Amino acid sequence: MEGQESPDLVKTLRPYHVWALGVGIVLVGEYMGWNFTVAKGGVLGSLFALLVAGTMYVMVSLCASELGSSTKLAGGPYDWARLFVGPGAAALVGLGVYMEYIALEAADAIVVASVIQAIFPSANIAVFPMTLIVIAFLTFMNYRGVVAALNLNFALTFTALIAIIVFFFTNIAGFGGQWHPEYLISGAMPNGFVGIFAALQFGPWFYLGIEGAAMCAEECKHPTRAIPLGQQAGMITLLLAAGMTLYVCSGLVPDNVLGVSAYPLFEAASNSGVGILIALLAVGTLFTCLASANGTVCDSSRSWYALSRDHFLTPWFSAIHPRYNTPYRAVIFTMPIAIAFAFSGYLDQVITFSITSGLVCYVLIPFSLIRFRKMFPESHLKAKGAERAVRPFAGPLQPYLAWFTILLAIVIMSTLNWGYNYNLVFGLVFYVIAYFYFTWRYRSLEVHHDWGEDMGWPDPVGVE
Amino acid sequence: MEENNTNIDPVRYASKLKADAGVVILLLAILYFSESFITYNILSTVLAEVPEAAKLLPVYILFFVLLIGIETAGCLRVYGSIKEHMYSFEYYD
Repeated sequence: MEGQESPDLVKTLRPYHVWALGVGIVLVGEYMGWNFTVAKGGVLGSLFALLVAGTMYVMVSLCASELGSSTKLAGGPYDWARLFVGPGAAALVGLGVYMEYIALEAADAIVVASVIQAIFPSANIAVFPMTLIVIAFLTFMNYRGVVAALNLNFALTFTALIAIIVFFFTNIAGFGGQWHPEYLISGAMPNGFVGIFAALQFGPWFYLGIEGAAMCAEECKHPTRAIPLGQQAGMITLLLAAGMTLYVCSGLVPDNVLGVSAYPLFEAASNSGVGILIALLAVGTLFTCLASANGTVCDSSRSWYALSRDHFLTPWFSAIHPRYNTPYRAVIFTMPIAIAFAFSGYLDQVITFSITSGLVCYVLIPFSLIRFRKMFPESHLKAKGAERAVRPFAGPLQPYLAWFTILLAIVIMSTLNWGYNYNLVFGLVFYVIAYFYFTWRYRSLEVHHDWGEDMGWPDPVGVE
Repeated sequence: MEENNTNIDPVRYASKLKADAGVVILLLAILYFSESFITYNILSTVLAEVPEAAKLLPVYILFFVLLIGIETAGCLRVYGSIKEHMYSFEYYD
């Protein structure tokens, strides 16, 4: 097979690329989508969702930092589950990550097309053809090379982030519109305590996809530094952006408008009446959607590449481009799937499927870490002199934080029962079927795995 | 700390490590300020007019402390890991 004889992925990425990949995918969640928490639980529900989901994601990103800097493989969560849990769980996570990101890419591309249409109303631009152009352009960027794609992400993400920070500080300084405390009081908890709890279902919108930052580990120059540093810097950036966004939007947009707005930050900027902020947030909305879609092409293609490389799919997809060193067939294959999602038109349903997929991963990522710690305990690594090779970065308070992450992910998943119970059931049935299919397919393969040959690690505890 | 490679410039490494630490400290400082400011402002504004919401105040405080505490512990570990491995993995060459 061509894919098996291809060159390796090129190792050029630095911590700021990891930051750009993680934040680039997720920052779009501050520009739209998070505000559905306000419709469910008011401003208090939104703050509750921000803090609870934020706590879960801080722990997920710590698990991802440890696993990513240890394994240094492109498949990210897929490879972690493959190595430490089992083939069925691995394929499930690989598929979950793929679905999570492809659905996001389609949503982002549609929003970019809609914003372009709104900016140039006289040009009569149709949304769907423009969506296709956006998807094709981003696929081409990722086909050409990951550095070019992530440099573009860095510029777009940085601009969109600056827009939020400038808006927040001008607002609290009194130059960015009048902040109305009465909006918070009138929309504090419209559906009572149940509403505050139900708002958790949209909490992941603030941070959905940050674990993807660790998926470029195989392409990092120094993954043991770049992954933990880039991932934690990215997580802090998102916590900052989420808090700032909630603050300015809740005081500038009445809760009944905020809860259903398609562009809450842009709407808040419009209500501020400051021309330069309106322009800045319009550009920010456009750029963050482009950056998110760009990052999702990168990550979903790596997940597909990893599934193919390990024969869960045809190995044809695992070919690396001889000149650009990218998994180009996996990259190109993101295009028809993203177009299919974009064509379906039911974005809220697709995005809820994306959240369900993400939550499945947030159960399996910490579980992979628990298994990793059990298979390679500190005492075993010390005895083998392999601490540096196997676990160069060890997160704090593990595996207790991993167990707590699983608990929070299940609690958040259960809140989808309020309003999206069919999506939840469909998503879970889809993944149960996928689990049994991949487990069956894996049994038909003759797979040889040797920790020393494949990872340069000693055997786990109890194998010798 | 490992310092086996004789071609490594320790002054340069110390300076680069300080730069990494500076980034993390700056981000954490902004995080403490902004999250405290936002949480305090929203809760104090709402609780003054909607007293029944005060029943949830301990839960908000719990998750605020968890979020800030776990992130800080994580960042300290990142710094420790970079400091421990920077020479052996030649991070700054």
